[in-house]
Amino acid sequence: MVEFLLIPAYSKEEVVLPSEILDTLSPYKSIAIFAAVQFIKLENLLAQLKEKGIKTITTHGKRTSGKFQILGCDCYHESFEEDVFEADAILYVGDGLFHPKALLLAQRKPILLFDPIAKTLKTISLKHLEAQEKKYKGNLLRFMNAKTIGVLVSTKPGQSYLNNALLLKKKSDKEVFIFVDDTFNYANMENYPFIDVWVNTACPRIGFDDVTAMPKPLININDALEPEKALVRYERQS
Amino acid sequence: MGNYDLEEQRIIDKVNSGKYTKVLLQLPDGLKTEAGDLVRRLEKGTSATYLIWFGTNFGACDLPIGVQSLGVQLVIAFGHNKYVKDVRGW
Repeated sequence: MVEFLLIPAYSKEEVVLPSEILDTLSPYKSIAIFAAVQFIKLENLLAQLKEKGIKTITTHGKRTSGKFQILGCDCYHESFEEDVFEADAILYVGDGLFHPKALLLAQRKPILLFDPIAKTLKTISLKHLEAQEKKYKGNLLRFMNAKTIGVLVSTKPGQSYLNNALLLKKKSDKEVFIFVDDTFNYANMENYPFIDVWVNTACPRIGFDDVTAMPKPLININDALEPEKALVRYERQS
Repeated sequence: MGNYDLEEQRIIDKVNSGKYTKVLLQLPDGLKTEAGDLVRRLEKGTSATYLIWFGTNFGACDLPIGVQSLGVQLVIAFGHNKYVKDVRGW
């Protein structure tokens, strides 16, 4: 029996907003705060915002266990308490784009990014999703017309959803084959030319972040189970 | 590595108290370059053998499984905390 120990690698430095960034945030009356696990100790930042009269709204993604924390898979509106998105602005504390893009996907409003190491403030907006969403919508249409489907199932313990692959196989009027691997090398799709469209059951971000780099079309399992509903959603968003 | 608390003393205490002899370390990409120094420090504080996971570390959803065949008794995954999986799907 193997035992597992998780070390979050918390930042040793306190997260503090530089005065010029605090001034930039001052016009907002309320801000929803999210962070990478390394930076979830935000007492100082919250005190700074409170002193400026800014109301802070705090929660965390439903797949996380830390206050303020968000994961890349928390990329759906249902991943959060709804009132979070009523804030005037959403501030993410951390580096990189993987986690804040989940917020962008979930609520489709610009996200402010504070990098506590570089001490910079940036904004990401829906234009960061344009290429992937255009490609994804095309993939969805191809799925609806496809005859043969390959479903990718991961053996990673937190990403393994054979149950959903089996559900699609049972429910679909298409011919469905189920493929298993640990980490997906998309070039391997070309070894199975009889597959028209692939369906991802592992991490939902595979269906957003990686679709422009794949040799064959792919959609996510939730959309494969309800493709008409997904198409309506994408039509409304574009 | 200096910016982040890797809780090395906690790891050393756990490895020594649990008498683990083979430990696998899984690091996120941002810490992989420091793996050598980390192992050197842990080896000084314990008598365990440390293996380093070569592959991905996308999150706590991505813990290495099947390593018991190598005699690994403890996996230490850095950069993540508990992942709450909904077994029904996303």
